[in-house]
Amino acid sequence: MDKAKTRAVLQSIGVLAAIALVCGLLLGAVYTLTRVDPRTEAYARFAQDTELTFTIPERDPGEGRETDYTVTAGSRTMTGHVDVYALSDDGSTHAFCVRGEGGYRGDVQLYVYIEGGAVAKITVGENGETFLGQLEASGFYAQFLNVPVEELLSGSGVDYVSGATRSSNAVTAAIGAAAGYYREYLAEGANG
Amino acid sequence: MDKAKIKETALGGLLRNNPTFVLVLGTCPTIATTSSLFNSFAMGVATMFVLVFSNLFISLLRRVIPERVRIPCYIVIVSTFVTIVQMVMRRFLPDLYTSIGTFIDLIVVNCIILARAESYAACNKPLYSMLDGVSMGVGFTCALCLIGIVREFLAGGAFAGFAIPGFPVMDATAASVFGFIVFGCLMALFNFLVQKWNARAKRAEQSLPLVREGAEEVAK
Repeated sequence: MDKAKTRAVLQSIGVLAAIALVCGLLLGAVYTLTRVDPRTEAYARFAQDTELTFTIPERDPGEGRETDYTVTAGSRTMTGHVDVYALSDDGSTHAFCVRGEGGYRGDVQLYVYIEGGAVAKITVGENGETFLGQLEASGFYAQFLNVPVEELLSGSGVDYVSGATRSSNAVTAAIGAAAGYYREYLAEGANG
Repeated sequence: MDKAKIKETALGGLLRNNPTFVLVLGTCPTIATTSSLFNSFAMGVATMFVLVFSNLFISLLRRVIPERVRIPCYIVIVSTFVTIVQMVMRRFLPDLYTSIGTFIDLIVVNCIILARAESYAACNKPLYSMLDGVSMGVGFTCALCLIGIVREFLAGGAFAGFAIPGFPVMDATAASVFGFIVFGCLMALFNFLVQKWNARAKRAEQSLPLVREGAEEVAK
């Protein structure tokens, strides 16, 4: 191989690597400055959504508990995760920051609130989905509201939104994870 | 520093080379984020930040970056600043991030940024390149805000989030297709006004020596 050509190629690689390294360091510094603890962020969102107070306990109430749940709705099986769980200071609302797998652009994050054993409120968290507006417009979330957790987990079918099946799946998985966690650890007679 | 070049660079992005209305670059974020004045302004400022700093860095490194890897180098630099905007917005303006966050990612492939990097920053000094970034950014922001004002007014009967009493709301105009119509109308109006302004400036320039000559004759 021509020596000059080899040198030019190596120089190109070196410059690109050096630029990438400096940019990486700069991003690392900005990330350190702007990073927020996900738990703190979730608690702030719980308070904002419910207008109740949620005090962050020293020890995570979800520590040591199962957080991954397989949800069945009709013939479909999906996986959801509970990222953060909190109980409001007045003890009335169980708040969950949950994720459902299998969305069109990755996981779908939701905030699910359970009061008196039934889903009271669902709000959308951070995600890259463009179909969630479609779900909201067609009243997809309404079918889960005020439904007792036991009924949600009975495996009965869900009315999916045509053209947004993957997003519907992911949302169902996220809500199912919150319901599964509630039944396992928080409902009367649970392990919690 | 060359005063004429500074003036030309500073005004270029605003009028003669306005990225939105004249060069018709970055149409995707223009239509996507101009549903309201606030979103338009935020998108414009985010793009301006990326433009200024990517232009500065590319200009500083213009003699170091080899020709054959210049595009990957530009992309790395631009995407770094886009990610910084994203992190800062997510931390300090979460509501805004929820609203236009998806389009912030797309600044990386915004034609305005790469066009200015390639055609200006890569062959000009850092200060001129920064000025070009500011000028292009302000031109882009003003254009987005203008479209945002009209679209928000038509679709929501509001200005900057404040409802205007008695104005009939036309929901259908919130659709992207009306965004294109508003964009086209404003583009036509802008180009008409700029051409008129250029013609007047040209006329004034041509008539100036005559006035001077006349003045000299009177003085004699």
